[in-house]
Amino acid sequence: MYDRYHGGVPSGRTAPERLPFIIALAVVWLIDPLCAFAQDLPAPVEPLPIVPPEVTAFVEATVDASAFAGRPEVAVVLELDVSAEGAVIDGRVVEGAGEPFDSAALSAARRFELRPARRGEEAIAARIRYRYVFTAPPPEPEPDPVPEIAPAPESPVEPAPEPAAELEFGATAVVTAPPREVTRHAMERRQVQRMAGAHGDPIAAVELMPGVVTTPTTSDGGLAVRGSHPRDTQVFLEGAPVLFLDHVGGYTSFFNGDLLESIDLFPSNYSARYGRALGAVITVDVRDPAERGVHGALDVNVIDASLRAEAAIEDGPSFAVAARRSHVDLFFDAIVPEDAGVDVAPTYLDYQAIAVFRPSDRDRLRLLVYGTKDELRFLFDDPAGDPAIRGEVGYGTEMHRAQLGWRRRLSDDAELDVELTAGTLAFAQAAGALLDVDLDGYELTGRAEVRVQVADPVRLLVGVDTYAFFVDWAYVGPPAPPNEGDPNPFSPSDPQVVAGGSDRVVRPAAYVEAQLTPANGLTVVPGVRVDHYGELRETRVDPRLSARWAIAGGTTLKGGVGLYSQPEFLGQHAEGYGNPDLDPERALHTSAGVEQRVAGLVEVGLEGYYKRLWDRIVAHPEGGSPPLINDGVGRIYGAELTARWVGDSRLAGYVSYSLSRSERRDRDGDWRLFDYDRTHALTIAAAYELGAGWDVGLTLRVASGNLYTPVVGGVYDADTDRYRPRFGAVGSARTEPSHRLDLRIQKTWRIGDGRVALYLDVLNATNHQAAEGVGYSYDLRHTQEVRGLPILPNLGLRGEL
Amino acid sequence: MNRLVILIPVLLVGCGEQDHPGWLLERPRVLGARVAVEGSAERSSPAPGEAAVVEWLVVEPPGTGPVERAWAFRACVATPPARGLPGCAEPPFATYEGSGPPVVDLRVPAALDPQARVLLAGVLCTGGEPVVGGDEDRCSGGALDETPAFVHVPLAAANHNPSLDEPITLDGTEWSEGTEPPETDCVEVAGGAGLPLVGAGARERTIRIGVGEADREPVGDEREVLQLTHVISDGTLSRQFSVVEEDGAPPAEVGWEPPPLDEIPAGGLTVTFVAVARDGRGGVDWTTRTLCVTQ
Repeated sequence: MYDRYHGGVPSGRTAPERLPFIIALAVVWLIDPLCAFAQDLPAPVEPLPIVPPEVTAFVEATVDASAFAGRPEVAVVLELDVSAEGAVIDGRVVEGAGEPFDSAALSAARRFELRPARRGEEAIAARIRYRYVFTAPPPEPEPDPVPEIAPAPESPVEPAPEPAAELEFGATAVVTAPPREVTRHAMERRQVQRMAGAHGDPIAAVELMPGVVTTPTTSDGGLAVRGSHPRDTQVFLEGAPVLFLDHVGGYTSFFNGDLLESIDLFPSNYSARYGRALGAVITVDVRDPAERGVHGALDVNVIDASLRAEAAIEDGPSFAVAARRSHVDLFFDAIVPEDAGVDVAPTYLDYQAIAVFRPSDRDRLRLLVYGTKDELRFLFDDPAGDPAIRGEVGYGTEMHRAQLGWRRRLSDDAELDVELTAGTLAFAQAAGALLDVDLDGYELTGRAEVRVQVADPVRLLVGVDTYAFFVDWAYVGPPAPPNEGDPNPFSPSDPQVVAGGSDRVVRPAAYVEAQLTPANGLTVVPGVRVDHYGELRETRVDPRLSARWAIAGGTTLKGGVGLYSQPEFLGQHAEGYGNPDLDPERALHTSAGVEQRVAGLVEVGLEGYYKRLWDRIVAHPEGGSPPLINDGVGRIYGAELTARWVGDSRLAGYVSYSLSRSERRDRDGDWRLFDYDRTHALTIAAAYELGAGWDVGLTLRVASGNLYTPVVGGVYDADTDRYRPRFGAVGSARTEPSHRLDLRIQKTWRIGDGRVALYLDVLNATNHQAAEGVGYSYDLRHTQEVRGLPILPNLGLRGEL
Repeated sequence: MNRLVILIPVLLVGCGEQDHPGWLLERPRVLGARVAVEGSAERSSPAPGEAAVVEWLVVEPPGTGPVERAWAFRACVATPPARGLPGCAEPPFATYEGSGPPVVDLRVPAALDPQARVLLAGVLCTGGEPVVGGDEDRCSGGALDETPAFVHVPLAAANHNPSLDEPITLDGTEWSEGTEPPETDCVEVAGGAGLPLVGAGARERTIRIGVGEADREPVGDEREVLQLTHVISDGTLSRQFSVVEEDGAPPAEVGWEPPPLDEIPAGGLTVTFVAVARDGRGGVDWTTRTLCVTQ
C-alpha cells in the first residue's frame, strides 16, 4: 500500500464543483485593485501627528559573556508590533547578530512595556524598529552583560510616513494588526528551546499550554483543547491548514523548531480569520532567514539528526534550508526481537526551505517549501492476538508543499497579504484484514487579506481563504469506523465496506473583522465569517464578537462570543462509507476573563468558558443507514488560571491550572462525559539560565485520568472464536491520575563564532508509566492496565554557527 | 493523528498475551459450534425447511472431573451485520433447552427468506439455570460459570464444513487421536493408549496441523481462507490462531514449549491439544489430541 504515494492527476471535476474555488481565487486577485482604491482614498483634511511608542519598562536580556567572542558590543535590530495598550504583541529580528543575541533580544523586547503610539490624543497600535545593543562585560570582574537602549537603525527598510517621528523616535509608523482574540497562549522559539518536555519542538510546546491535554495513545491521538475532540483543533502553518503536525509517534513535529517564529494557541473565541474548526486553532509562524552572514546548525541526538543552514545576499534575498531524519530504525533491529514482525521500523524525515526577497521597499516575497514522510510497518505472517490482525499492519504519511507569500504595503494605512499553497498529500493505513485505507492527491490553499485603518477608531480586516483538496481514495473496512463515544471496536464480524473514488472538495470562505476603539483602552472586535462547504453543498455564516478593556493598574477585562462551524472529517460525506447529506457541525463559544500584571514580574490570567455544540456527527443507531447522521450535541464548560513570569529573562516559567467538564449526548441518549474529558490539569514549567553556559529546565504535569468504558462481560462469538464485549455505561470509569516530570539540562560552549551545546532531555524522569486505559484477556474476564511510555532520555549534541 | 501509529503495537502487545492467554486451556471453554444438515452432515448451511444439528464444542482441561452443564438457546432471524452484539430482526421462532453436551436440533422454518441468517444465541451454565430472552442471556441460581454464546447459521451459503482429517504431527511424528486421556499417571498407560511421551523442558516442539486441499472451497474467483484455533492445556503455545490463506499452502505450524520439570508429577502430566478450523462462512471442524509429559 505504501507504493501508492505518487498521486494521481485529479480528473472528473465538474464545473459546478470548480466554481466556488474559481470565485475565491478571483477574489484573491481582485483584492489588490480594491486596495489600490483604498490607497487612493482622500486623506483626512488635517492629518493628526503620530507620536510613536515610548519604552517605559525596559527588560534586560542576558547572554553569556563568552558569546561576545572579543566583540565590545553586539547589536540586534528588531521590528516590534506595539498594541494600542502599549504591549508588544509581536516582534521579529530584522538585522540579526546570531545566537544567542537574536533570541535574547527578541525575548526581552517582547516583555517591554511602552507608552502606546498616539495619533492626536488617541492611542493606536504601531510598528517600530528597535536596536538592542549588548555591551560586552569587562574582563574582571565578570558581571552580566548590560544591554543598552539605542536609537533605531539609520536606514529602516520601510519608509516612514511621519519623518519627524522617525527622526525623533526611530519609529516606522505603520498600523499593525490588532489583538483579535480573547485568549492567546503564545510561546516563542527561544522558550520552546528552553522548556523541558518541549525539546525545541512546536507540537510538544503546545502540549504544555493551558487547557491542553494529550489523548491516550490508544485513542485516535492528538491534542484535546478545552474539552474538544482532537480533530476539532485546526493547525495552521503560515496560514495554511495542515492535517497533522507531528511525526510518527507524536514525539516531534515535522517542522524544524529553529525556523519557527512563534506558536500560538487560541483555545476558543478565535478570530474570523480562522474557521473550519469547532474547538481551537493553533498557528505556527515561520521566521525569515537571517539577513546577514552565514549561519547554520547541526543537531544529533538519540532519536534523530537535523541540519540547518542560512545565508543572505547583501541587499538581496536570504535563504534557509533544513532537513531532519530519524535514525531509530538504525538500532531498531538490535532491540526488537526478530519475531516481532517489524517490516519497516519507524522512520520519519522532513525538510524545509525558505527564501525571502524584498523587490521594493513596499513588497516582500517569500517562498516556503516543506515536506514530511513517515512510515511504520509490521508484517505478521501469523496472526497475533486476533485472527484478523495478520499480514500488513502499518501506517504511512507523506506531504510536500510549496507556499508563495506576498506582502505589500499598499499605503500608509493599508497592507495586503497573499499566500498561495499547493502540495501533495498521501496517507495509508492497514490493519490486517480489518482495515485498508489509501488516499493520495493534492491540496490547495489560498489566503488573501487586507488590513486597512479606515479611520482613527476603526481598523478593518477583510480576507478570503480557500482550502481545497483533490484526492483519490480507497477504503476497505467496516462502515464508518467507531466515533467518539462508541466503545465497540472493529470486529472481524463487521460487514466489510469496499468504497473509493475521487473526491474534489473545495471550501471557500470570506471574512470581515473590525477593530473598534470607542474609548481609550477599550477594543471591540466584531467580525463575521462565511464558509461554504462544497462537498456538503452547505454555507454557514458565523458572526463573532470579542472585546478587551484595559482598565487602570495593569488590569485587562476580556470576553467573547461567536459561532463556529466545521465540515465532516476525511470523507465522512462519501456515499457508501458515510453520508453525503451531512451538515457541518456547529458550536457556540463564549468566554470571559481578566488579566493582571503584578509588579512587572508576573502576568496572571483567569478565564471562564462555555461551549455548546450541535449538529455533531454521530453513528446511526444500531448500525442503520446512513451510517452517520447530524444528531449529537455537546456542552463544555470550565475555567483556566495561568501565571507567567515576565521578569528577569534568565528565568522563564509559568503555571497553569484548568478545571473543565466536557459532555456529549448522542441522538436521544443521556448526557455522558466526552471520551477525552479531564477534570483537572496542572502544568508547572520553568527554565533558568544558571550562567557559564548552563541551562536547566523542569516541567511537571498532573492531570485527571483517562476516561474509558468498562467491559462488564463477554459473549462468545462462535463465528470467529472471539468474545464480543458487553459494555457498561459509556465513559463511566477513569484511570488513575497521571503525572509526568520532564527535565532538561544543557551546557553551551562558545567556540569562535559558533556554539556547541550538549543537552540531555529526560521525558518522564520519574519513570511513572501513566495508565492509558485498560486491556482485557481474550475472554474479557481479566483486566490489565495499558501503560504509557516509560522514561525516555535523549542525549544530543548541537553545533551552531 | 500520527499517534495512531502507537495504537497498533499497544493493541497487539498490551492487550495480547497476558496472564490468561487465549491459547491456554485452563478452564472449561466453548471453542466453536458445528452445524451439520440432517442427512448431509458435511453441509453447514441448511435451507429453509431443513433440519440441522448444531453441536457446541466445549473442552475441559484434563482432570476437570464431571461437570454438570445446562444450556438454553433461542433461534431467530438475525439482524444485518453490525458492530457490537448481534440481535434478532424478528421474534425467536424456537427455543431449545437441555443439559449435558449442548446439542441443538435446529429446524429452519420453511417460510424464512433463503438469504437470511439464523441467529442461535443463548447461554451455557455450570450450575444454575439458563435464562434466555431478556436483555441478556444469563444463568440464575448462583452459577459457578456462565458463557453467553451465539453463532450465525447462513442459509444461502451452500457451504460445506471443512475437515481436520489430515494428519497432525508432533516434531514430525504423526500424532493420532488415541483414546480418552487418563486423569493421572499417564506414563503408565501411555503405551496402551497411544499417547506420545514428551520430556519436560524448554525445547520448543513443532505441531503441524494438516488441512485437506479439497476443504477450501472456491468462493467466486478465490478460495476459502481457513482460520485455525489451537489451544493446549499446559506448556506454552506460540499463538492461538493460524490462518491458511487463500493462496497459502497448508499445513499450519505452531510451536509448543512443554511445561518445566518442576510442574510435572512423577506419573506424568496429561496434556490436551485442540484444533478448530473455520472457513469463515459457517463451516467448522475440530479435533483433539493428547500427550503425556514426563519428568
